[in-house]
Amino acid sequence: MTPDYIKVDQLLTRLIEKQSLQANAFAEHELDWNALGLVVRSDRLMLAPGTQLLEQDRVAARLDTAAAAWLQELKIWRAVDSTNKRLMELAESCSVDGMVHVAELQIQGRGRRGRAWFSPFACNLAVSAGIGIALEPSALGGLSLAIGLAGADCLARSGLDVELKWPNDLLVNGAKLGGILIEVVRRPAGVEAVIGIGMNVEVAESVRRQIDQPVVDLRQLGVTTHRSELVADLLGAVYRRVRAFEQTGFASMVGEFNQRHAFHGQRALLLQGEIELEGVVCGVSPGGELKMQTADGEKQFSAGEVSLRKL
Amino acid sequence: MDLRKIKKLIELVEESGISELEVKSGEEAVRIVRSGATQPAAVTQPTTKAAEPAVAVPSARATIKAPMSGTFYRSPEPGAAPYISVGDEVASGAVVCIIESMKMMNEITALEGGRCVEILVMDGEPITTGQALIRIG
Repeated sequence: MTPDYIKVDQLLTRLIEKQSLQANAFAEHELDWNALGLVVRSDRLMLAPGTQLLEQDRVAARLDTAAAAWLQELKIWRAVDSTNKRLMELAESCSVDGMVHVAELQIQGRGRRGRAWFSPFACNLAVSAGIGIALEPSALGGLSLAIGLAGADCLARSGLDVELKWPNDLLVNGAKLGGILIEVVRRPAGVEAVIGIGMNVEVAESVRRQIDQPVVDLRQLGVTTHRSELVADLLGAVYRRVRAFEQTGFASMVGEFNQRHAFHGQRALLLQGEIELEGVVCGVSPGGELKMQTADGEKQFSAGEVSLRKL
Repeated sequence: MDLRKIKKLIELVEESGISELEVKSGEEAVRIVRSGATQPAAVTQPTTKAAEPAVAVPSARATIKAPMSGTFYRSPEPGAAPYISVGDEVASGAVVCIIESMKMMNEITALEGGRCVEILVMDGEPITTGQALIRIG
């Protein structure tokens, strides 16, 4: 049985140990426990009613055979700095192929270049999967888009149709549902990728206000699939997409991606550091680059942030 | 002029973005040329009659090139120490930089060991496939 509470002091100690929140931060600011998905009762943090904790058995029961054969270890953290960071550290000393780390509470979720990914207790999905890929680093172009498609596959099983914002954000009606960050380690034969996926399952209103962009969550969208089952669906989808990518690269998935491509055919801005480029989004290349029709003709990009042009 | 001083000068040139720097100190002179992909970083011109041991930055034996296009990063995350700096000894297989390509962070490793002679790209700069990044001497 999973315990339905965590001692406040235990959780605080863990938070402080990870140094993401200084001890005085708790004194100076009243920590919004509700935003963390927890309810305070005397010295105990109770889980909010209806909270779905991650369960090993439930993940295993839902996982398809191929992914189950690949999976070596599923580690469920109550609280962790970042699931990607844990796996990347592990990757320094051993193979992480088949190692999966998930977390109820992620304190320092890693987005692109250290951007915070807010992940309250048992409200979101924070999944990192290590997977060996028998390809040279130069052949990995488009892998991150293929993983975006894996996210879409996972949600399709729960009846949800998502859009993908290049390179791989998951969107519904322009609002962000999830994000992906992949870190690649060189190995003697090919590479190992640590694939981190974050998805909003249930975002409290107080949290929503702290995020600087429109967000949406699965419960709002009517998806009731248990978090553990979503983890299993995600792992299955990631495994299938990576194996397909190994065979044919991203080239065979271009059509699928373009069908889900957010802003397709629309005028958008591409932000590359300080540089802003304007053009019409016209799809992705077999290498995963963004294609845009600009004043200087069609251009392909492998870096930058796309946003809709504000009118 | 010792090696440490020259290393400092090279770093200075790299940081400032100027293309050439000549420093004269007594009978010695060193000229550092920031170049594209083909020339070594520093050209030393000992003007002495070999009174002191000749100071020469070793020529690069290996050049680490970008296996994919994207953005070049010298450190694992913003604010963290860079993987390597000019003058550092680099072990074969060690991570020397990260290239971000489409939200994929690729660790780039040195195929052979040696001393880092030159870093040709600035942190955060966009790069293309095959572009020379780092010279190992």
